[in-house]
Amino acid sequence: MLMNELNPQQKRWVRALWEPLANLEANKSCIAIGNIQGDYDFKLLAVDFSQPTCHLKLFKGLSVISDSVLSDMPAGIITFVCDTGQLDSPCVGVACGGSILIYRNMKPYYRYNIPQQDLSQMEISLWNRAAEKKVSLEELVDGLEIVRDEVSISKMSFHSQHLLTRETDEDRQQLFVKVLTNVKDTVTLSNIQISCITTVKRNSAQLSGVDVIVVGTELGSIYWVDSQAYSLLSYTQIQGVPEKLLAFGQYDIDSKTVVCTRDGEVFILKKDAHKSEISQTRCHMKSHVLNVVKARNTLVFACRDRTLVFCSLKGKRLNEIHLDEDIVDIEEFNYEPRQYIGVLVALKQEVHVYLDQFLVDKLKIDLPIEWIKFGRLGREEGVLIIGTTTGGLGVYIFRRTAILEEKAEIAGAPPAQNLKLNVPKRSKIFVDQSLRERENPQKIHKIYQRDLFMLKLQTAKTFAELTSTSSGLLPTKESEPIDFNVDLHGFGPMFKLTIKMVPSVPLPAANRWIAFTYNKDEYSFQDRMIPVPSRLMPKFTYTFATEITCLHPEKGLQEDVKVLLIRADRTQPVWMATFTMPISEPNIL
Amino acid sequence: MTSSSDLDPLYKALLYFRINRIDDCQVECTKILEKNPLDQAAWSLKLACFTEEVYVDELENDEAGLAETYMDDNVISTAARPGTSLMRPVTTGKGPSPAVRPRTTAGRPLSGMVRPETRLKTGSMEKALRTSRTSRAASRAVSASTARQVRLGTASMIAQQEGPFLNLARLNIDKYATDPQVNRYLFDYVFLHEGDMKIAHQIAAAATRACEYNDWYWKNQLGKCYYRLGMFRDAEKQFASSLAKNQKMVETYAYLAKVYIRLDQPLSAIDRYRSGLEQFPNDITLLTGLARVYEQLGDINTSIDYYKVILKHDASNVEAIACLGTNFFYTDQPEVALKFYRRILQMGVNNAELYMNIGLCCFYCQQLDLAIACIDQAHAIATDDVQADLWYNTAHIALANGDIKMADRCLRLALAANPEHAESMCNLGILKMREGKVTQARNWFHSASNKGPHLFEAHFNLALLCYQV
Repeated sequence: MLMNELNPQQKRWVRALWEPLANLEANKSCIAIGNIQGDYDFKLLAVDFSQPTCHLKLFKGLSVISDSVLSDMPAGIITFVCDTGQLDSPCVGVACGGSILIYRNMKPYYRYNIPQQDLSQMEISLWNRAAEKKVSLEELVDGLEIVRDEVSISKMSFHSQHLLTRETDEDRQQLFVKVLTNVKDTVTLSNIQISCITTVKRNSAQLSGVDVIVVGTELGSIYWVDSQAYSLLSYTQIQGVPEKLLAFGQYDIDSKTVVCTRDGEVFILKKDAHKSEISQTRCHMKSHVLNVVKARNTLVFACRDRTLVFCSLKGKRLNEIHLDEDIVDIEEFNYEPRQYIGVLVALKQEVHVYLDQFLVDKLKIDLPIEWIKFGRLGREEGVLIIGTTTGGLGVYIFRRTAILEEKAEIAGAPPAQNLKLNVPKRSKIFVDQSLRERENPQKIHKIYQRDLFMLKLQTAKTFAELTSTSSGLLPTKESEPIDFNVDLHGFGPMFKLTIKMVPSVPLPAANRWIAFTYNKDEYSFQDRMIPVPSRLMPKFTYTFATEITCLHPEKGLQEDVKVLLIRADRTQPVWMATFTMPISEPNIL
Repeated sequence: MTSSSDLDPLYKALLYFRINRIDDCQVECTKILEKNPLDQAAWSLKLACFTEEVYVDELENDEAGLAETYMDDNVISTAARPGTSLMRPVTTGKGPSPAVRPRTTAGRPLSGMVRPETRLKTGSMEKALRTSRTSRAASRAVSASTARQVRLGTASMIAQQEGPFLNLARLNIDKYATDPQVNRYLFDYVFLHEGDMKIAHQIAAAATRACEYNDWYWKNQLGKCYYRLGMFRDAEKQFASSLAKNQKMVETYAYLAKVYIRLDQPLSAIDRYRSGLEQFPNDITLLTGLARVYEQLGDINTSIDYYKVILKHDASNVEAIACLGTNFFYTDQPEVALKFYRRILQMGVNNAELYMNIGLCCFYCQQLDLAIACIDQAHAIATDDVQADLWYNTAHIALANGDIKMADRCLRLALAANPEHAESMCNLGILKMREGKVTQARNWFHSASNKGPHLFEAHFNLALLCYQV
C-alpha cells in the first residue's frame, strides 16, 4: 500500500502513447471516441481549431487517418447509433450553427436543420413580403423595429439582427440585397444557434441501442431529435443559455437531462414514460459550472471556485470537496472489469481519481492539461486520453491489475497501530508460569531485586578493575580521548598492521609512542616502537603502519599481540588493544 | 596387577583400547613392537591409537577458506536464484525478520548450534581481503588445507617426540594397501593423523583395486580423499558408484550430500538426503543434514520441522534441542525455549552460553527470580571467548531495567573483551545518541558498520542520526 502511495503512476496507469507535438487544438465538447469505422477499433475524433478553418480529424492511435474541413465553427460533436442493434456504423454528428451535420464513415451524409419554432409571425411575413419585393428596405426595417420592441432582438432571426444592427443605410442596402439574392418567395429565417449537444439512449440501455440527440440552443431551447427519422420528439424551454448537457436514462422510459447554463444555474429536466411533458427542477450553484458528470447515483459538478459538488440525481446537494487548484476538466471514470465508477478530475498537471467522494489515486502529467476523455480506445478498455494546452496528446491505460482502495482520511490512530501483531498462542507453560508469579509475587520481587543488585555490583566491580589497572582497555580519567582503530591485513608470513588514531579534542603536547608486546620467538616486528607527533590535531586521522613477520608459519600457531599507546611521563599505558594473530600461511616464495 | 601381567600383551592392549585408555594401549603396543617389530596386529593397533587421538568425524569436518569461497571453480551460476544456492538464501522466507532474529557474522539467522561451515559470500574477494583480520570471524585462512589440517599436523608432532612413527616416504604402499588386515588402520592413520592426502589416496586406490572394486568402504575412502583434494566431481563419482554398485550406506548418502553442498547445489543435496531417508527411514544423521541444509537456505520453518522429527526419534539430540530452543526464543515463546534449554542442562552440558540463554529466557518470560541468578552463573564460569557476548546480553538486561549507566558499562566491558564486537558498538552509539553526543555516536556507528558488515542496524541508526542532525 505504501508503495502505491509513493508511486501511483507506475502502479495503476501505463502511459501507452505520448505525443507532445500532436498540434491538436480542441476543446472538451469537440472530442468524441467511437467505433467510427465499424471495425470495433475505437478511435479518437476531434475538431482541430488550430487552423483558420476547422478540421474534423479522426485519429488512429495518435496519427490522423481522416481529415475533413468544416464550413463553420462547431459547438460540439457526438457519435450516435441510428440503426437498431447495429453498432457497426455509428454516425458522427457535428453541431454547426443551427444544424447538425451527419457523417457516416467520415463522409458527409445528411444535414439536419433544427426546425424553427419561436420566430414571430410578423417577422416571417415581413421578410417574405420583402422577398416578393412588396416591401422596401425602409418598411422592412421599420416593421422589424416594431417586432424588436415586442420580442427582444435576441429572439429574432439572424438576418433581422444583422439588419437592425447595421449603422448606415448603405450597409443595410448591401445586406438586404445579399440576403434576397437567389430567393424566390420565402426567406429561410433562423434564430437557432446550437450551444451544446449530447445523446441519450432511446429505449435500450445497451451500447448498440438507438440514440436520441439532445440539443441546446442559445435561446434556451432544448430539443430531442429522433436520430432515425430526423424528426423532433420533444422540445422545452429553460430560463438561461444552456452550456453543458448531460443526459442519462432512456428517452422512451425515463430519462433525465442535466442542463448547466452560462449563469451558473442547473436545470434537471425529467421526462417520464407516460407523460409527454417535461418537468423542470432548478438548482443554483454558487459558482459557474465547468462540467458535469454522473457517477453511479450522484451528479458531480466541477465549479470554477475549485469545488467539486456532489448532488443526488434529484439535485439535492450531498457533499462538496474543495481542491487546492483550479479544476480544468472532469470526466466519468467507469472501469467495468472491476466495477469502478467514479470521477476523473483534471487539475493543472494532475489527474485525480475519486471513487464515492474519496480521492483514491493521483496521476501526474508533464504538461498542463486542456481536456481529458476516458473510455475505450483501440481495443483497450479504460483508456484516459489527455489533451494538453500546448496541443499535445497522451494516452494512459488503466492497468488491469490496479486496485483502488477507498480510504477516508479520518483523524485517529495511525494505520501502524491497527496492524495485528504476530503473537503466538498462549502455551500451557506460560499459564503455569503466570500462576506461579501470581502466587508469590513478593518473593519473586525480592529475589530479583537482590540479584539485580548483585549483578550491578559485579558489573561495577569488573569495570572498576579494568579502569583501576589502567590497562588502557577502558577509557578512564587518565586516558586521553582518542579513537583508535587497529587493522591487520595479509595472509602471512608477512602481515601489515595499520593503526589509525583520531584525537577528538586538542591534547597537551607530550612524547607519545606506540609500542607492541608479543612473543619474540614467533613474530618479528619491523618497528618495536613508533613515535607519535607530540602535537596532535583534533579530528585528524593519524595513520601508522608496521610489518609483522611470522617466523614459523609451519607451526600454525596463533598468539596474542598487544598494541599500547604510552606517554613518556606516565608509567601506565594510555590505551591498549589486544588482538590475536591469524594463522599464517606458509611462505610460498 | 600381577594377574594383569599374566595376560597376553596384545589382549591387554586391546582391552585398554576398548576402555578408551589410549595412552596405556599405545605403551603396550610399543612394548610388543620392541620385541617383535614385524607384529602386524600390534602395529595396526598402534596406528589405531594414533588415529583415535586426533579423530574427527569427517562428515562434520569442513572448513572453507577464503580461496575456496571466492575462487570457486565449481560455481555454475554466478547469480543463482534465491533458494537454489547456499550463497543466496531465500529472502522471502517465512522465518522471523532480521530485526527479531539477529544474524551471525556470516549473515545468516542465528542458529542454535555453531557449525564448522557456514559460508556465505558477503561482498567480493577484494572486500574480504581488505577486511581487517584481527576479528575472529575474518581470521580464516586462505585455503582450507592450512586451517584445521595444519592444526591436526601439529598435534601429531607433539605426540611423537622421537620422530614420526611411520616414514611415509619409505613405506611400501602397494604391499600394505592390499593387505586387508592392515590397510584400514594404515589409511586412517595417514588420512587423519598425518593429513597426507596423496598417500592416503594411493592407499585407497590400491585397496579398491585389490578388492576388485567391490568394497563400498574403499570407494568411500577414495571419495573422502578426492573431497579433501578439492576434486569434488571425482568424489561424487566414487560415492555414487559406492551407492549404486556396492552397498547402500547411511554414511555414503551423507557424504554425497556433503559433496553437493560444497558444490553449492543444496537442492541436489536435499535429494540425496531424501533418497537416503527412503532406504533408512528416520536416520538421525540424514535428518540432521536435511535440517541444516534448510537452515542454511534460509527456510527456517522446514528446518525446524526436521529438528522436531529428529527429537522424536532421538530425544537427547543436543543440536535439535538447541535449534528448537533458539527458534522458540525468537518466535516470542521464551517460556517454551526455556524448557528446551533446561533439557540441555539436565543432559549435563554446563557452559556459560547455556546459562546465559536460560537466564535470558527466564528474564523474558518473567521468571525474574531465576533470571539474574543464571546470568551470574554464566559470568562465573565464562571463558574468554564468550565474555563479549555475555556482557552484551547483560547490557540488554540493564537496558530493560532502565539502567543506562550499567548498560553503558556492560557494553564497554564487552568491547574490552572483544574490540571487534560490532553489536556492542552499535548499541553504545545508540546510548550516546540519546545523550546527545552526536560526534561520539557517529564514530561508534561508523566503527560498527566497518567491523560488522552483516549489521543493518548500524547503517540505519547512522542514517537516522544524520537525518535528525
